[in-house]
Amino acid sequence: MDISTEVFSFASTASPDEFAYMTEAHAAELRVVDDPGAMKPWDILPLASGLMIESRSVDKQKAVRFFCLSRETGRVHVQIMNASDDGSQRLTNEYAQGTLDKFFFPRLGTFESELRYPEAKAQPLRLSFNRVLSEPESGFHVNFDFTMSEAEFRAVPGANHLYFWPGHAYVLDVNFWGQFVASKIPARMDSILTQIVLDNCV
Amino acid sequence: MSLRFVLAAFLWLSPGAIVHAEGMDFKFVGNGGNCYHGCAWAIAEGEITEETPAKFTEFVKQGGTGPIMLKSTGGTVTSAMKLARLIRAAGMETMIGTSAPYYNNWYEPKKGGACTDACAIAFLGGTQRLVGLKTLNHELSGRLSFDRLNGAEILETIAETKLTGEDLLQEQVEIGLFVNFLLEMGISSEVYAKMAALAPGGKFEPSDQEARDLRIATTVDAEHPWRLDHLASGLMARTGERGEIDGLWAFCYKETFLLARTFSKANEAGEPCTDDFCYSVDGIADVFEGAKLNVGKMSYPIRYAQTLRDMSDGIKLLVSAAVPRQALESLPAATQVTMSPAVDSRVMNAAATIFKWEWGSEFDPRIIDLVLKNCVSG
Repeated sequence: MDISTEVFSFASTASPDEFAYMTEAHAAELRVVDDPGAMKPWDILPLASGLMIESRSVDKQKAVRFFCLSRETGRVHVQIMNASDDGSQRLTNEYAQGTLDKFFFPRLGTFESELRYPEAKAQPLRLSFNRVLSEPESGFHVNFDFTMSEAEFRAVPGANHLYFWPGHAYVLDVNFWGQFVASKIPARMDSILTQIVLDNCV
Repeated sequence: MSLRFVLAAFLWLSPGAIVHAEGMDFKFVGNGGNCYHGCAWAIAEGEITEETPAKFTEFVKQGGTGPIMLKSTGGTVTSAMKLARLIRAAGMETMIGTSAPYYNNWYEPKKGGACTDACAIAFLGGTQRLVGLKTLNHELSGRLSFDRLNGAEILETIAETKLTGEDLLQEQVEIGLFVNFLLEMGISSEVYAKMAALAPGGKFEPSDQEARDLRIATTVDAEHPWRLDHLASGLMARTGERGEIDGLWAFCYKETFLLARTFSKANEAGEPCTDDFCYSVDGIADVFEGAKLNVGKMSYPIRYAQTLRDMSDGIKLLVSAAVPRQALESLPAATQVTMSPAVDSRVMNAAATIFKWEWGSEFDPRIIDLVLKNCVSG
């Protein structure tokens, strides 16, 4: 069934007359629920003279990062990272096969998108598109770099999805890219972590 | 009479075979060096048979002790599981390799050596399990290889008393028995999945990374990479992968610089424990008095030490030492910390191991820079 046998270990934490209850995130991590795209907890990583926070998906196909280059600019970078099936700079999904990243050429520099929270709550975002980059050394070949305001970044705790309206990308004929420029966001982001990111700009 | 003399005398008077018969042999050997640990070990070589567990028990009765160096192409799975449990009960470490005499009856570890099939299962019994790593100060890499599991053989061991004929048809009993064994040994049950997925004749030879991830290998000589984590309002550096509790923390609280050893185990008296033994509370207080903390080749005074209990995330105990800022700054260029007590005695030296921790390799100094820039403010 491709379920992690760590489930045995988890089950053994309960005494014979009790149940061991699993969180949604833990269930995804152990592949009890079919969510290979579930995001692992945040890692804090050095980045030049500052730091970034990064979360990778369980299936290693996706990552999301936040960092800032300078506190003065009031902007925070968000990078959405994608691994391609064959290590090339082509992305594939059920609608399109192997489109080169250079096709992602938005006509407008600002994207309407939103942070989505549990219970169908959402907050609109206006992300500025910065560039497409490849980073094969980390296993991510097609990556999108945007910036958001500091205030928008402070709204990330509690959100579980950074969502893009594909139609708002204004990329001709390639609206399916929305799937690759969106990302789930792991839990456990709190205001302390956002402050740490803001205090440690590169 | 000192322990080292007793050990040396024992090795001199009774080198070579202690127990010898068909199947696996056990020998207690040494390299002739004067040391408390690392110059004497047990050799276990040959096929694991039904007699092997009894032979091992006899070997231990006659004074045989560990660590135990395995070299075997396998044998009976159920005997290997029994042997693993006996090795664990005897508190012995396991490693893979081969040994040969180099002078008179003194032995030294040699390159090569393999522990395959049922031997790999016996290997899991070690309180610490060294795979492809530094063995007795020699950089050796033995080969560890798991075979496809013989479920029918495992079932036979319990069929007499516990199972009906119908039960015997159920594969889950076999799975349960082996998974239970893995859990008992503290090994990831994912190992079962790896073995079950093998085609007939297939082998599962874990990489160093897999061996660590699946807890086939333990942490004695493994990498404990440093990473950043947030601690209250600041940052700390800590060793080990996410989910590893035992390790070392480095952080600052206002103007105080701290190194802390974290423990996942404690006894009923609340004393911190490793797999092997527990540190007495009185001993902890005494050993820090006038002690020095060694970070790599540098030594630093310890201003004071503190113990915290039952913290979050499964930490049973945290023992922290206030040290100069330079102690934290010198961590990235080092690979271990140790503590030197003010009094050089066996008891104090043993107590001082509470602050002994290795992490395998140098690490990115920016991790400590960020920690020092992000002190916990209160």
